[in-house]
Amino acid sequence: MLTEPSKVYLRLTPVAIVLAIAYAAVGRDRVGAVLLLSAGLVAMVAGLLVLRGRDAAFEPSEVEAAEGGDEAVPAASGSGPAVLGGVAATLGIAAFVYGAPLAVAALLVGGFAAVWWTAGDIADARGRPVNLLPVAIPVMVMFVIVNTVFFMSRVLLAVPEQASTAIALLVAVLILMGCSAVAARPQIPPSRLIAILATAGVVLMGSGLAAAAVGQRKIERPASAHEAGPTAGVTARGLAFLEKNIKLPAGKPVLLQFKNDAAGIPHNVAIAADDSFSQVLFKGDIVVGPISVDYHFDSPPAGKYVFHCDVHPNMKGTVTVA
Amino acid sequence: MAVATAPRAATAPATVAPAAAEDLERRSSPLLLGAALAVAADAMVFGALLAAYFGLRATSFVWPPKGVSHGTYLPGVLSLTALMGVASAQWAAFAIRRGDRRNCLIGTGMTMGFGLAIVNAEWYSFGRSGFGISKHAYGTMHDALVGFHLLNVVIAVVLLGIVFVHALSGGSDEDRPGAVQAVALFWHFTAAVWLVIFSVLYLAT
Amino acid sequence: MPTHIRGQHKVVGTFCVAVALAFLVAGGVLAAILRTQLAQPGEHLLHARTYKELASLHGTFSVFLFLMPAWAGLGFAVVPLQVGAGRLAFPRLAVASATMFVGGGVLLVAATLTWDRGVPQSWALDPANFAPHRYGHAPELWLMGLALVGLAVIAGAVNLLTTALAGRSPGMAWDDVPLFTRSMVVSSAVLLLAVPALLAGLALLYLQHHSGGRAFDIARGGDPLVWHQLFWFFAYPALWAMVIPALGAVSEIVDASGAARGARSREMGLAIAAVGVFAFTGWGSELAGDTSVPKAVFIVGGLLTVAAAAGVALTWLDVLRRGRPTLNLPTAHALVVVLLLAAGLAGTAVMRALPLTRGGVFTYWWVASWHTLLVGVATLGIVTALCYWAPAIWGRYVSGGLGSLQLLLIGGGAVLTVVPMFVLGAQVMYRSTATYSSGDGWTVANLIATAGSYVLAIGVVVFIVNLLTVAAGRTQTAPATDPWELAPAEVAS
Repeated sequence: MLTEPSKVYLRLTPVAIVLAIAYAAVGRDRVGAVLLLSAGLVAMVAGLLVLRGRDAAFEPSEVEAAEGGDEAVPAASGSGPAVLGGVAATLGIAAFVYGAPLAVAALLVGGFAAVWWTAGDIADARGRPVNLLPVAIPVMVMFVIVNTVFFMSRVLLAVPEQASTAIALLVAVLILMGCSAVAARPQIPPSRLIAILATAGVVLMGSGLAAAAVGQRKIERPASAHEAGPTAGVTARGLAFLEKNIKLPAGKPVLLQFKNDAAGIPHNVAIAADDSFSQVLFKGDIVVGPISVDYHFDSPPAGKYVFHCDVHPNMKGTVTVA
Repeated sequence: MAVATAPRAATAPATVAPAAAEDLERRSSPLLLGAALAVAADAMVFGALLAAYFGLRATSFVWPPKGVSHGTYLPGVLSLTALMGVASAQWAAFAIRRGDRRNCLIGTGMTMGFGLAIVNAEWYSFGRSGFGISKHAYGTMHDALVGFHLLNVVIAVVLLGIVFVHALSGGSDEDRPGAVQAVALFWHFTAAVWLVIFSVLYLAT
Repeated sequence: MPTHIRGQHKVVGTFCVAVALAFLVAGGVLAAILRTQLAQPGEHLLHARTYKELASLHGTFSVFLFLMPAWAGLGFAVVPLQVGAGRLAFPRLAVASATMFVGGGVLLVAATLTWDRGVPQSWALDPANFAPHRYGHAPELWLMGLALVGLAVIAGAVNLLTTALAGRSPGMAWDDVPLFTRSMVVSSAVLLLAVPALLAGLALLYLQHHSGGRAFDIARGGDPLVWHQLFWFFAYPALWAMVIPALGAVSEIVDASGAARGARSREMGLAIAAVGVFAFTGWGSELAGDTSVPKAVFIVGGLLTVAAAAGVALTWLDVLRRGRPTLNLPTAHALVVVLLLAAGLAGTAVMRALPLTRGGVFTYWWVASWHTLLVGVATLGIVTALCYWAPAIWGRYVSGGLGSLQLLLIGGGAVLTVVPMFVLGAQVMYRSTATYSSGDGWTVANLIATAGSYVLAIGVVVFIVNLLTVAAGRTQTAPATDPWELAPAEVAS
């Protein structure tokens, strides 16, 4: 007997495949045809796999929830590794944006989550718990310290100087007050403590990420060719460059600021040794205006060169490198 | 079928009483089912990337662009490695179904080895391709497809590692066959994806 | 370490719903700002560019951070109860999903706050917003936020499908499975195939911004249309997948409270499944105007989806005409959803059939059709479902007084908002209009729509207050079985 999900998938298959053929044959839409074909094939395989697994079953829940306790907290025991896993996934994905430090953090958190999760499964199988605390406590302490330092430092570096002092003092006072409150009231249930810490962690991480995206305040930034301001500027208006000559220093990394003021018209700047453009020294991205874009490249040795727009080659000028 | 005057389960929003464990005669693992569904989603990602590839190919005059040439040696070796991994992964799955922990460990370990070899080879091939992501659309799609496969193999190796550790730990676990079969299914999927990539990128051009 | 604690799925589900409602407020505030701008001609509260940026934020928050987590949460809470499993197939995966929803939200908010100029001007994004290395990290944060939500949705779909397949009590045939679970199964099946297309597109956008990838760069053999194809191949089925669970919830309520119980449940189930199948065929209608996309095929596809949903509506009307339904709070909500579904489907059908030269997809008619479906059916459907299943999830009814008020405000607000939008669409006011002049003749309709949006916003606030009173334990406790007293009085022996 067909199960409902398998029915949905297996009915999708012929519809998708017929449409795929129509898209390919009637329209010129290759992308749509392949999408539908993929959907049809995957649906067929999924429908068959689901059908094959139709006798799958799992035991219903056995353990009663503890009476009372904090209903608002999702961290029922057994959920800890899952929350960590979700955090690891978030860090891992953010690592695509921020690079290595977050990737390392993701691997560490993910590794810990995997260990915790596996320990839970092994404990279930053995019928007695696996004690991870000797490893867990130092790891968690290190983790909290490293993350707090990292994210707080992003925040403190992104805001103006006086604000950063104020924020640091405020956070210190909050930590002190929080710890005093916990110490004064020993009956706080651990789940509530975990919830408070988790919220604080999310706030810290979020503000740290935002601050990292904003970047450090100006005074801290090391000088480089890029931060010292653009070396030269070129503006395109309509179908012409406003500048007929660009001056660049020789043999250095340069920043050429290209402003395309022509709305809806694609332009770029490309530099070559001579008008034939057989030896292209730099080819900037084509951008559609109105937009301002920075071109970074290393300037050639001293001499005379030419530049033009790849889309409209009659827009041209000279480049003087000295 | 009796006249439907008894309250049907469909009409009552309240809970239905859970069944006792002894009533369950069914055998397949829900873990395997869940893995099959996840594999379906993964396959669709791959299908969408292929759609983009074929769409761009259809609108280009020269595809692949001038200056792109592939050998088929390294990709061919990768295909053979993936197929060997299919055999070892399935060996592990069969072994654990029989309760043979030792062979399961061997099979899983071998598959991990093949997986690491594939990761190594694909990473190496990125540097040697002669074009990059940013040179032209072909480069982007080629690297996206191979990179997607690489990501999947890395995930497969991690999952195999978890299953390996789990099997090492001993004790009885009624759903370990399900877990091993699920990971084996995921490995078979990555191998199938590679064969399609191999055909599309290397054989068809 | 015990892992199968009874009721854990309700806690996870409640958490997801709470997160979703927080973002509903955010999306709603944005919508109110947009409507305020349009209330009067010549209004310059917002620059045109800012208007479009806020509109795209509104769309993103509402779909990715409200609708998706809300239905996931409701599914987590209700499906295990309905199949008799008492737990989800993968309880910890559900917690991971919930965490990833929060993580995705954090990344999206971080991106919003740090994206200097060039926030996408459409929720559907454009490769031009992701020019290589432009605007720092914010564009990639945006992409990764969407990707995380996508992964959370896929994980949730796998969880719900496996729960429904493997967790049914022995002897429970598919026809016995309640309609809401069946609709969640269909919705999960659709999302499982649709969201990956988004992930693929996001990966290519990421490669473009991070590494200078050329998939969408015409100069180097790429094509921006590929992004739009991938996005709408995801978005069209996904938006229908947000409507499908509402169809399921309302079907179950109508079926249970109608005079002829169970008479049409089979047809309802079939029609809902058909919506899921045909949802994959109509995405081209959102690419209208692009000559590379074959028109006839996608118009037919779009109409097929509408037809399937109309099949659902017709079965509801059939049940309702057979006798007066038991009227209680959920049923009243359900009836309003029925009306709004009919309006939304009619509007969508007309729009697909209109030739492009008259506007159609490019006008406010498009906005009105989708908002009728997404606000009037999906959002009100979420409200309805939460009211109906509050006894099962939290053991308490929602407040009846507040509930009636919320229905009046949300239902009335929705009608007041979308009807003028249909009028504006007929008057060919274009979708991205940020400001207009008094000579255009659009003033009255815009004013009414703005007033409607404020009413709608107040209704949402009332609903959230209602849920908070439940959380505070201030409402009546409900019996464990048949809290809405819908079972027939006698059981035939």
